[in-house]
Amino acid sequence: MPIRYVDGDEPCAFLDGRVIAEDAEAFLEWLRRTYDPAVDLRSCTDPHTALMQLLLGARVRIVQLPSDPMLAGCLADNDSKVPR
Amino acid sequence: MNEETELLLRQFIPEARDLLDQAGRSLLALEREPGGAEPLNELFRAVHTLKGTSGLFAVEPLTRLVHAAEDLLFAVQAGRLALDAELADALLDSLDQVGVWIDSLAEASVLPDDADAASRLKVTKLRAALGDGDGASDSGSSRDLAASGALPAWLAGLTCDPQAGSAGLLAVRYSPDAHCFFRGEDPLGLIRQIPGLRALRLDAVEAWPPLAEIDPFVCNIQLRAIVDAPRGAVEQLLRYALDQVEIIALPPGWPDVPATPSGTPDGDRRSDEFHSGDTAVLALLEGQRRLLRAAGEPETAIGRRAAAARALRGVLAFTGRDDLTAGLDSACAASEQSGGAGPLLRCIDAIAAALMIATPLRAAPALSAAAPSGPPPFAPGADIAAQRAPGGSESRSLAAASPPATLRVEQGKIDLLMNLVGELVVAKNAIAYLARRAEQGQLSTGELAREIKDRHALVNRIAEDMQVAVMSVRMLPVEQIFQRFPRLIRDVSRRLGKRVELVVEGGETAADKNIIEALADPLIHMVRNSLDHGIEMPDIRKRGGKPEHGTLWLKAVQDNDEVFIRVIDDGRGIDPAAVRRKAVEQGLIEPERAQALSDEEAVALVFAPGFSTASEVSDLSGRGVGMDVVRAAVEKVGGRVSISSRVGIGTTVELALPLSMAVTRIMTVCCGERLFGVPMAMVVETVRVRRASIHRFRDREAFVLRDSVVPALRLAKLLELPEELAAPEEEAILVVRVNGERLGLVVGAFCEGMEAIVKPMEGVLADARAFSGTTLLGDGRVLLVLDLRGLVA
Repeated sequence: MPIRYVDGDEPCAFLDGRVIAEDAEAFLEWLRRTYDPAVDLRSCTDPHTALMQLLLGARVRIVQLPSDPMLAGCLADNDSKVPR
Repeated sequence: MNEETELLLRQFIPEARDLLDQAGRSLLALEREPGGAEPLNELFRAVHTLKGTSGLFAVEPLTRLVHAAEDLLFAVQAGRLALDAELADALLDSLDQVGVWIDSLAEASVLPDDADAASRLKVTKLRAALGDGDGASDSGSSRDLAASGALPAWLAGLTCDPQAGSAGLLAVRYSPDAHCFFRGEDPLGLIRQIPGLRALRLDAVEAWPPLAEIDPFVCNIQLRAIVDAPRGAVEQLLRYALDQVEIIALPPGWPDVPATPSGTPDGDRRSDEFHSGDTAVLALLEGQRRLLRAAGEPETAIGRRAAAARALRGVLAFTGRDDLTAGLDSACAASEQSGGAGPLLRCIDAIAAALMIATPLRAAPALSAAAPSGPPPFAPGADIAAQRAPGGSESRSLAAASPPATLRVEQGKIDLLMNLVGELVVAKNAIAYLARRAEQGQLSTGELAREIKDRHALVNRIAEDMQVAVMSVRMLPVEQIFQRFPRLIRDVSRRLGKRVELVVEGGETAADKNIIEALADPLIHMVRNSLDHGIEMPDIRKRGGKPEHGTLWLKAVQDNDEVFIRVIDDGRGIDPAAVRRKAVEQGLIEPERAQALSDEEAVALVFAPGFSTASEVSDLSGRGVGMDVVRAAVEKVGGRVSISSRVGIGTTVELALPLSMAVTRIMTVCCGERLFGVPMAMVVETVRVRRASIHRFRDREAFVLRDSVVPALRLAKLLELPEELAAPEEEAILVVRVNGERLGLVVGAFCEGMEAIVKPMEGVLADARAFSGTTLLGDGRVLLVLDLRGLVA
């Protein structure tokens, strides 16, 4: 199970290993119905672009960045628009 | 190249040629009718398809060039760019280049060695036409710094550690299309596979919608990366998305030497970059803040601090604030010691404040060199190299005129042939059956003869039908050669500064493939002559009371078994007096004879070998090889050419060509014991003349035919055969028309007419002037077919 959802007082989704595009829909559903969701990307190694864009677009609170510094860097500064 | 790709390439080549033709036609149509939606769409489709298909092969320079053309057309389609003559020139030039490459692919399966450089030059030119500050201008395709002279704005905010040997760094921008997820693509995954990935950024293309409206399967991400990898490796990895990828080679030492090489004139664009640079720098600082503040595992914190420090160094280098570097260094050291991000965060605040107050961006020494304005940069020498040598484009369109090796045939014609072959097989079987019956003695001689005649009639019908069917396969519409002319006329008239409209009529008229192909060069000569000598400059036309733009008609009509092709212009016409004078000057004709010629005959002198009216040699025509070459080429395929002209009104050149060369109707004649064939097309009539009625003037003979004198020649004498001993009371004379004149050919006897496929003389006999070819008689003998022109010359 690449994404494990823990609902409760501090709802959090744990992304694990390789997350494929098809997981994005369920993840988005979860984001929509969850109040103040958070994600833990500590063990996420290969997130699909679709997942990454949800993380960026929905401005999800990230409690643990991925261990790959490149991925972490992408998620850390995500609010700039594409320069022309 | 493996076998499969090779096969695909074989299919691609004719398709590409078609697409190029289509694109060229549409482009010319667009020039006549600017803003026409239909030709623009067709042009775009053709170029788009070409780009798509070429992507299957390792022809990156070609794909790149076509892609640039597509981008340009996209801008035209979107109304952001006007398609003017300059732009059309650039596009046609690129299409020509692609045509040359396709020829090279057809011959050697690879592009020429200089393709990459040529592609870069032309791409730069096309992109320059597109202008900058416009999203499409940068999309797709890789550009070289050397070619563009400036770093693109999209680099802003990208940085990496400059210390770690930043020679040969590449910046990659990948803009996947919105539906890429549906094709199973993972752009991020792809980019992360690039070895030596040094920096990566993901940005939203459109502002993010509210959560409720996000579509998870629509890609809204643009990826930018700095990589330390060879360009080839990156292109290989991203080969399926190259049209969405831009790869820029960064200058050595980047990002320490940020912007332009000094002195590159590139005003407007530069200031745009600064603006985006301003905001990008601030965004970058903010990004570092959030990177440092973000919660994460302690072991990644060190890496994140190092990344932030690198980014900050990049910012300082980019903005030229070296004075702040010391502060950054000490903040790094402090962070290192304390293991916290505090010192770095404070340093960021300090940098941001310094930049906000002083707005020092424009003071940065490396950047201030930008000149106030100027055209978009070109590679040095791009213009010179791109300029055509005189006649260059034309020779290229001529090169494109080399006949395609394949023949496309309607399915129905092949089906018809197939049916006929089936009938032939049945008829053949019937003959075997008949032979068996004859063997068994079941048939009397009379019955056998009748049966054989029956079978012969059947086979004869099938053979005739097959002949017709094969002929129709070989028939091509003259459109095939006409379609080259719009381009030729456009190029030539633009070069000459004339305005010419082309009207094509009867393009659907069909003629044999060989004739169509043989016609291409003579027609080009004729059209060029009309443009060069016939049609006047616009101001002269206006003074002469004519419309400013000249008109050139290309007309084809079929009349019985001949096709007539006329090239008509409404130019100045041919002055018979001038032609007489020139012909005399050039020693082609005696002065007295020239004066005796009628005007029409004088005009026909232009067909004399070596004749040229142009007082100076232009690069178009008038080199003295013109109309006589036309006549020779046309006569070679059994046609005639004639000219008529009226001073001040225009000129008409008419080619009359046989419909087909494959099957020739032949009249056979006896000469002594030998049989010879004469092409029926040359025969006017057959007459029998009493020996006494043939008059002899010295060694010449002539006879009177319906009140006009016709010279007579003896075939036996011409062929140096022994004269017949017993002189007949009546001579058989074949009246033929050679070079427009009637001529009597005294032969032994007339024999039957027949249809034959005449094979040209080959090998050592190829030079035999008296004969045009051979064919087989029913009894297996070889029949020599006379070439009357060669014989009487």
